[in-house]
Amino acid sequence: MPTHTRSSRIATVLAIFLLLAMLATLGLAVWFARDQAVEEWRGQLENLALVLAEQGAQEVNSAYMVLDSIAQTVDTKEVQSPEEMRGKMATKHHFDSMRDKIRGLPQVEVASIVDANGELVNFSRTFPAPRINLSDRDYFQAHLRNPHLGVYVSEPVRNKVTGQWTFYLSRKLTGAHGEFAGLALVGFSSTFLSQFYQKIRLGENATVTLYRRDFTVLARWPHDDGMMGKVDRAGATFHVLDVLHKSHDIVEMDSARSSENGEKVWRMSAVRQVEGYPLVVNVTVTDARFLDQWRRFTAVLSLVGGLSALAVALIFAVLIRLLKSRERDMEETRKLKSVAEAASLAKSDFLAMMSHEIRTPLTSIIGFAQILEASQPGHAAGDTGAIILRNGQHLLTIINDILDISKIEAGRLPLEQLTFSPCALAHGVHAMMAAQARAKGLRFDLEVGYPMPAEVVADPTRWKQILFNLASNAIKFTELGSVKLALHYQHATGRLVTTITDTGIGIAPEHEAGLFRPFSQADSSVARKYGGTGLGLYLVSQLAARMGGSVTVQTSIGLGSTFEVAIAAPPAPASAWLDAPPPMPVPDAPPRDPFRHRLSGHVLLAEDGRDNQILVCAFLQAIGLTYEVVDDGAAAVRAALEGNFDLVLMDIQMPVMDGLRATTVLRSAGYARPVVALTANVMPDDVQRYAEAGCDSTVGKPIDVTQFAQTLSRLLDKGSQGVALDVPASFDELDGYREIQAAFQAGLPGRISELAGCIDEERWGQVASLAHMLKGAAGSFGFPGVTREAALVEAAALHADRQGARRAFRQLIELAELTQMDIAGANTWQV
Amino acid sequence: MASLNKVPVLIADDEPLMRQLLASILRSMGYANISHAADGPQAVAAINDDGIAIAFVDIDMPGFTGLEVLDIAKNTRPDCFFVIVSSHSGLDNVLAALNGGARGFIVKPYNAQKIHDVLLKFKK
Repeated sequence: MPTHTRSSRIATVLAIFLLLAMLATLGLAVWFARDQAVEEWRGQLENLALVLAEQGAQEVNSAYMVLDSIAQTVDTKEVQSPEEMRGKMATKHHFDSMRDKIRGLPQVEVASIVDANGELVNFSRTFPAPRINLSDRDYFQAHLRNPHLGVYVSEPVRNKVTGQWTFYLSRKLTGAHGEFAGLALVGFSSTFLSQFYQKIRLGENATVTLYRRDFTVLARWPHDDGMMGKVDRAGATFHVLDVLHKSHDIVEMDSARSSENGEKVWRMSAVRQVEGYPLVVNVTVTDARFLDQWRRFTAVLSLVGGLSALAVALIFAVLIRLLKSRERDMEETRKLKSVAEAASLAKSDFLAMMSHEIRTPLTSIIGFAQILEASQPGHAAGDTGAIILRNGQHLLTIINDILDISKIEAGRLPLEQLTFSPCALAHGVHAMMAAQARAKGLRFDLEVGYPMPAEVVADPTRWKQILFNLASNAIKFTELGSVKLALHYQHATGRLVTTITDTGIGIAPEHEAGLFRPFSQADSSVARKYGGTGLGLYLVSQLAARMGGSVTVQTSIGLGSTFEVAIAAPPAPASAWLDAPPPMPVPDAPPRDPFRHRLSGHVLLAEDGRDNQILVCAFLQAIGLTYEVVDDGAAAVRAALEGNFDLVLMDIQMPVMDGLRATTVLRSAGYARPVVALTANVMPDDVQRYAEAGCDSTVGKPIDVTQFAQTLSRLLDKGSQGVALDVPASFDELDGYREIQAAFQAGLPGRISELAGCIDEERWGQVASLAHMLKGAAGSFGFPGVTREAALVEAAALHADRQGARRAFRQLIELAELTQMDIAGANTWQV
Repeated sequence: MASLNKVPVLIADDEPLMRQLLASILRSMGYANISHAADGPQAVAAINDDGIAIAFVDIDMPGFTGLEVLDIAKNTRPDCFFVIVSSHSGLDNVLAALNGGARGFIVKPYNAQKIHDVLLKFKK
């Protein structure tokens, strides 16, 4: 599972965030737009209500004036009775006068005069007036009830003939003595008002209503017969006047509305009382009207926003899909890569194992070939040995190359950073290769360009490998002429550069490209003639690349080639710069006889391979050492602690207990003699591990006899120096040893007799105990044979092995070292 | 190591001659402050009470074996340099001694060089 956040997840979160932001913006825009729409409508409605109230006031005022004029006319007559009223007022003159007064006032439908009995006296519609009694009308009753009533506004009444609605403004007429003489009436046309309101063109979902102060509907648009004359105490008008106690306001309501059959309707109402009159104007628009534009805006905005969101969502969906697909691909790639890496590691492991498996027999082949060659120089057997040796070493080179390449490819080739002298190293390579060149009749020159740092920091082993490979290639492909190894230092770039020039066969241009590819040689005919695996140059180029450098080649066929390798190798801190060749130790001629070393000492060899045991023993014998051999680490620990070895050769891979553990145990037990690891695994970190376990040195397999002998020589010298001068070499040098020894010797016959008795009586516990004591002590007092045989007696006694114990004891008492003793009972002791 | 003669050394072995031999070897190397124990309890007492710095302990002793002595004394005297001395040279014994805290293991019969080699570790 990848630990980093996947990009598709980030994209998803981003998409959700973006969509939410869009939604929020949309919501805010809609919210503000609604507020704005409501505000605008409030303003409009307020103005409208104001205008309508003013308008209504003027119209009602005109009607009032008509009413006042008629009333004044009647009042001046100072009539005494209804009859007098009729006589004076029911004239054509007054009829015409009334008609004149209401002409030009379209809202006034009719003007009438009624006497104290409610009889119609004069009437602006027809003359003479029809005989109608109006005493049952609400306005008549109201005036009768309240003599001080001013102008009374009646409920609207529907004309049965025309269907028109009218409400009446009435005023009391006064007789000669101030008594009630009748009413002056003006019919105010509801229909006229309704039609006037219609002209405002508020459109549908809007109403304009004129209420009497007691909320009786006087006129309304749109007109509705059913509502005329009804008292509406549930609406906005009632709310503003009687709940809020205001003369005008704008309210938004969501309550049941009487005009919508009690349905709940969201609406905005502007209510305004007509100043000076018991009338109220109400302009109401429902949400269908005042939010209409906002709704359309919202719809458009939602549509646009929705489409945008959809587009964004789509784009992100595609993006996320792409990202996911890419992540899947990357995951797949990762998997494939890890599979490939695992395969590569498996290959490297396999190669490492194979290499170990091949090196083990090669150790024997090369080693015995060396012995064979050295034993009979100049004879056929010696030559045979030399041939086997050469081929074995060649095979070893190939295996090493393959192993190195596999390590490089697996990224497991560790590079060291060590300080070394490039001059000395080049001299070493030159010295080793010169003989090979001479054998082919070639000149091999070394040329060093100065100034050159005395010491640089890089991996000397790998650098040497590069020089070796190139030099040996140059010698291999050159039949006539010379090979030159040149070395110089690029101060500016801190690079160590070598050029190796030969006068060999050269390389055809078409083969140059494949030169540094593995397993490829210039052409197959070359391979047939010169042999080789084609790994050398590939390895050189890989090593150079790992060391921060490169290989280049210049070649012309038939004339020769020049290979140049440059690696990063900074001068060692405080390194001197050489301007001339440093004094070089004259290199030893490669010894013809690698066994010229003559050493002395006693060596313990721990090695489980039978052939390698024989081989190493042959080497040890050849350089003058004595030895003992054990097969595993556990035996090595025991032998090393028991014996007196000057050095331990410790194979690392062994059964029971491996060499690493055995060395660790020995060091823990205070074992101080040199231990040399003998192993096919000699990578730097391996060697490091051996050193940490307590090995003094490491000798690689296959064993290089010279190196082997040198290592042993050095360690044995050091070991012998480690033997302190004040340590007595023999107990004889100890003060009082003679006395102790004598005491032991004096007691020895008695102990042996006691042991004999115990064996006779088969008291095995005591036998073991006595034998154990003899084993531990006798050797220290000049009776090593007793120690040896007592150990056998002890071992047999521990198993209650009567025969074994008796046999061992017999050998003990027959020991030469005991012949001078008189051991009671023992001389007659029989098996 | 001019002060070696002051280093308190214990030799625990039930065999008097072996104690004398080892004492003689140690004296030849400059150790002069040497005490003896003939069995396990004596060895434990000496290690705990006499400030022993180096203890050569035989495995086969009456009372406690050398390994038992090691087991008892290593907690009270973890700084003491224990060397197990035994003719039991089997790996089991060696590992038991080392796991028990011994810093050295010497197989009988031994020579002076082996004693010297083990003490190199002490001197470090």
